[in-house]
Amino acid sequence: MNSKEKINSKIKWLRILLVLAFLVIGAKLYHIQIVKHDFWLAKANKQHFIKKKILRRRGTIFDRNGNQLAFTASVKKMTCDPTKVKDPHATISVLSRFTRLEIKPLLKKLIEAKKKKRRYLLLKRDVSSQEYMKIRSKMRMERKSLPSPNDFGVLANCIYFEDSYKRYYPYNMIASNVLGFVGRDGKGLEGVELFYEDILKSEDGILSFERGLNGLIVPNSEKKIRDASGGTSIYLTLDVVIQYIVEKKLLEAFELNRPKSAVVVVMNPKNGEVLAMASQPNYNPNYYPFYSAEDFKNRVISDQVEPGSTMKVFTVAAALESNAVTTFDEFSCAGYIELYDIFRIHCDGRKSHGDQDCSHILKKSCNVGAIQIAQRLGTRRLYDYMKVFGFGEQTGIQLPGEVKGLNRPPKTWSGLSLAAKSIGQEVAVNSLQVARAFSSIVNGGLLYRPQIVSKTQTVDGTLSDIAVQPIRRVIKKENAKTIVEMLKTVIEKDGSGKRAYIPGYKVAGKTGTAQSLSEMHKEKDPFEEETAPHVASFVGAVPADDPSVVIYIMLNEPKGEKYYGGQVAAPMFSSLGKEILAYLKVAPDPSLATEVEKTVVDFSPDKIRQESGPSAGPDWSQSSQSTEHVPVDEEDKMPDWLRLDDDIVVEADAVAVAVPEEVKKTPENKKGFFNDEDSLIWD
Amino acid sequence: MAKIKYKRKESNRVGNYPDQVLLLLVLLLVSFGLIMVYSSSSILSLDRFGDSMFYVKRQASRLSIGIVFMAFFAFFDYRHLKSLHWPIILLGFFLLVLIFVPGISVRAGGASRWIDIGIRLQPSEFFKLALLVFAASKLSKIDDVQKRFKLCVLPVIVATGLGFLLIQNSDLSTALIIIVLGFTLIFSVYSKPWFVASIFVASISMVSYIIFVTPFRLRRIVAFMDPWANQLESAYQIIQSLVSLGSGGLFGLGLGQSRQKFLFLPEEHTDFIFAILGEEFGFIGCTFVLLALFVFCWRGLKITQNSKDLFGKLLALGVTMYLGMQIIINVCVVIGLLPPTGMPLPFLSYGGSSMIANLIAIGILLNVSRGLDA
Repeated sequence: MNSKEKINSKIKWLRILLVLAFLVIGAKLYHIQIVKHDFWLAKANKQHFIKKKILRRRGTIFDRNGNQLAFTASVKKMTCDPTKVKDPHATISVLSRFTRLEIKPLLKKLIEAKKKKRRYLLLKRDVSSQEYMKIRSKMRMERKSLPSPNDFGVLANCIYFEDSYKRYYPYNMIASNVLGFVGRDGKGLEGVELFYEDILKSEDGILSFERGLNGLIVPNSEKKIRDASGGTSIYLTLDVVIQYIVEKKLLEAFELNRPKSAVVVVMNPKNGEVLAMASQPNYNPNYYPFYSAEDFKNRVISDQVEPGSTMKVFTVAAALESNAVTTFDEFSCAGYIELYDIFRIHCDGRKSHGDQDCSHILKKSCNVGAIQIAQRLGTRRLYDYMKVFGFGEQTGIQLPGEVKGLNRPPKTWSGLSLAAKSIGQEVAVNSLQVARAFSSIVNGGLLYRPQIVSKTQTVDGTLSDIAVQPIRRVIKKENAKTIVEMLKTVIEKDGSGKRAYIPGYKVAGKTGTAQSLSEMHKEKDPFEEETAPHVASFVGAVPADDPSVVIYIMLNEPKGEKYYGGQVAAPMFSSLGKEILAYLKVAPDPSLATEVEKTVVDFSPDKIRQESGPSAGPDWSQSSQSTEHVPVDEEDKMPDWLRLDDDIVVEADAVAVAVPEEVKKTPENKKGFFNDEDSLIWD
Repeated sequence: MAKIKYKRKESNRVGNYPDQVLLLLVLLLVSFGLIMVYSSSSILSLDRFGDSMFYVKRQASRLSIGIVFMAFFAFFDYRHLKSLHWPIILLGFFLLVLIFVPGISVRAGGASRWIDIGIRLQPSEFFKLALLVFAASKLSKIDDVQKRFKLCVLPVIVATGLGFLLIQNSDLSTALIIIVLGFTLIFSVYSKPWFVASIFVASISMVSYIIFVTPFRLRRIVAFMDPWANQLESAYQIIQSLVSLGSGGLFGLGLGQSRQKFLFLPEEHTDFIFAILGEEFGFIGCTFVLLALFVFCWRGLKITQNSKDLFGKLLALGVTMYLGMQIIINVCVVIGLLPPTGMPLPFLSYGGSSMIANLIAIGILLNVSRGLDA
C-alpha cells in the first residue's frame, strides 16, 4: 500500500469523525435554541429590558382652604454596593457631610455587609432632591478623577440612588388624630389616610425599554407596561386655623385638669361639616413609631362616655315634640325624687329647685325635673327619640374606628333605666353624636351626616364634591326654636353654664357632668356621685339664633378640684368661641348692648406650621404640585443589567433614621408602640 | 459498468476546472460573513469609532484582497509550491520571529499576536499555511526515499515543534492547531503505532503542563466547568453567548435584530459571530450555515481522495483539516462545548489575516481540485 492509498483509506474515518462532530454540534444547538429557548430568552429579557417608572405620588390631604395637611414628597433612597466600598469610614463620613446620618450604627451595618459580601445595602430612605444633587456633583467629580471608569472611589461607583417617596405632615401634631399616618409600606394606617386609602393611594406607571450595555436605547423598544394611577387628593372640611385654636386650648385644658382624655369638636350645624376635631392625647404623625397606639385614637368618635346632663336637651326636645309636655307645664323639685320608695335620685347639691318649667329645668340642669318629664314621655318614646337623634348608631363620618355608642332597646331596661337615661346616664355616646344631635336642634330640626371630607380632586384636576344631605328631620322647626330659647337661659348669670358666656354673642348651650362609664362597669351604685370619676362636658351653639358653629367639649375624668362641666368645659367654650367667631368674622349681635372687646386672631397657616414643631420634611415648604422633581439619573442607579441570575445576594437592609431631639424626648409614660430597638425604623 | 460510470462522473466534476460547488459555497459563505460582520459589529463600531460601518468596511477591503489571492492560487499550479517549500517555511518562521521584535510586535488583548510592518498581520495565520505546504512537500517524497523518518518525517516534526514553541506563549489554541495539523499530515502517511502513541503521550503531557502553569488558562477551564459560579467574571462570555443563541429560538429575531450585540456579548463580530448569527437567524439559520460548512469539509475530503498525486492529496487534506478544525472548535466554543480559545470562524468572523490566509488555502484547494496529473 503506497501513501496515496493509505490516505484514501483514512479519509473514511475522517468522514465519520466529521459527521459525528456536526451531529454533536447540531444536537447541542437544538438543546440551546429549541429546548432551553424559554430559559435563555428569560435571561436575555432580564438583562435587556430596563424598566422606567412614571412616578405618581399619593394624594395630598388639604384643609378646607387648600393648606396641605399631608403630602408626599419625592425623595431618593440611597443605597450602596458594600463589596465596592473600599473604606466604609471614609464613605460614611463624606456622605454625612451632605445628609444627616446616624453614623455609628450605619458604619457597623456597612462593615458587616461588606464582610458578608452583600451587594445591596440601604443607607437612607429619604435623601432630599437637594441633598441628592450635591452628592451627585461630588460623585461626578470623583468619577472624572478615577484611573479607569470602572474603578471605585469613595462614593463613585459604589453609592447609588433610587426614586422613592415620603409622606410629610407639615403641621406636625395638628389634626394628627384626624389625619392618621402612612406606614412603611405606603399604606394608610389611621384616620383619613386609612379611610381614604383607596382614593389617596397611587401606583407608579412602568415603561420598559431595551438598552445596551453602553446605555444606547434600542430604537422602538419602548413599551408601556402599566399606567400610573390613583393619587387623588382630598379636601377636608377642617380649617387648620380653627383646628389650631382648638388644639391649643385643648392642650391647655388637658395640662390644667389632667383628664384621661379630652376632645373638642367644632361643627357647622347647618350642614354637618366638621371644622375642627381634636383629641388629647395626640401624636406627631411624622414620627409615629415613637408613640403608643393609644395616642393614635381619634377619641371624638372612638370613645364612648355617658354624656350626663347634655342629654336633658334631647329629653326635653322629645317631650315637646311628642306633646308629652308643654312649655307651660310646671314641675316641682324637692331636691330629690324617690323611685319605688327605695331609690332616691338627687339634684346636684341636694338643693331644691322648687316649681319650674322646662326652660328652668334645663337652665338649672335639674335632675328631678328631667326625670319627671321623662316619666310623662314614657319608656318607648324616650328610646325612639334617642334613636331619632342618632344615639346608638354610627354618624357615618368618613373616618375609621367610630363606635356606635350604647342605646339599648326598652326590653332590656330596668326600672331605673328611664330615669337614668333621661339625665344621660346608662347610655353611652360618642362626642360626635352629641355635637350632631345638638346641631339638629340649633339648625331648626335637621339631622345631618357629619362630614370631614368635602371633595376629592384627581390628578388631572377634576373635582368631585361629596354631597351634603340631611338624614332626617328630628323635630319641628318651632319646637327647635323653643328649645334654643330655653338653652339661651343656661348661659344667663344664674344658669349652670354661665361661664360659657361670650360677650357680644347669644349662646345656646348645655353643661354636662356624668360619672365615668369606666367606673360604672365596676358595678358601683350609679348614683353615688361623690366617689365616681366624672365626665365634664359642654355643648353649645353660637350665635344662638343663626349658629355659625356648634362646639362640643368633653373632658374625661379630670383630676383637679373642678370636675363639673360648667366649671371646666364651659369656660373653654367661651374662650374657644371668642377666637373662632373672630376668625370667622362673625359680627357681634347688635341687639346686645355689651361692649365687645376686640379679639384679634392673627394666626396664618404659615405661622401655625412654623409653631407646630420642627419641620419634618426637608422640602415640605415647596407645595407638592410645584416641587421640582429631580429624577435619579440613570448613571446613579445601581447597575442591574448584570444581574443575570437571582443567586446574587441582594438583601435590603433597613437602617435607623436620624430623629430630631424634640421627638426623642417623648415623655416616659408614652410607652413605645414599637418598643424593640429594631423597630425604631420608619419611613 | 459501475466503475466506468463512476470515473466519467468524476472526471466531469473535477476536470480541468476548479471545483465549482466548493467555489460557490466559499463565495456564499464569505458574502454572508460580510453581512454578519456588519450586523454584529455595527453597535460596537458606533460605540468605538462613531461609525457603524467601520469594521465592515475594513473587512470588505480584506475580503477583496483575499479573493484576488484565492483567484491567483486557484490558477497557480500547486506543484510549483513543492519546490518552493524551503523559502515558504523560512518566510513563515521569519514572520513568527517578528512577534518578538519590539517595535514591530503589537500587543492587543494581553497577548502579542500581531505584527505591524506597514500592514497589520497575524503571523500565525500565515505560518499555518507555510507549515502545511512544507509538510506536504516533505511528506510527499515518502514513497521515494529509504530513510523515510529522517528525511521526510523529522523535518516536519522539527518545523511543527518550533512553530508550536514560538506561538504557544501568545496563542495556545493556534499552537495546538499547528501540532494537530502537523501530526495529522505525518500520521496520514507514517503511522507506526509506537510513533503515534509516543507523540500522543508527549503532546498531552505538554499541553496539560502549559495549562496548569498559566493561571488564566486554568481559570478559564474552571469557569467552563461551572459557568454559573463565575457568571460575571470568567464565564461571562460563554453565558452571554448562550443567551444570544438561546434567545434566538427556532427562527431568530431577524437580520440586524440582535440585542446581544449591544455590547452584552464580547467579541461579537470575531470569535462569537456564530452566536449573533444564532440570535438573528435562529436554529434554522444556524443549521443552514452548519450544513454549508459541513458540505465544504466533505468536499475538501473528496478533493483529497480524488487528487492524483501525493503532494496534492496532502495539501488538500491539510487545508481541509486546518479549516475544518477551526470551524468545529469555534462552533463548539460558542455553544459551550469547549472553553473559550480565541479561534475565529473561517469565512464568517471579522479578521483580515485569517480571511486572507483562509482564502489562499481555498485557492490552493481549488487548484488541487482541478485534478492535475502528478
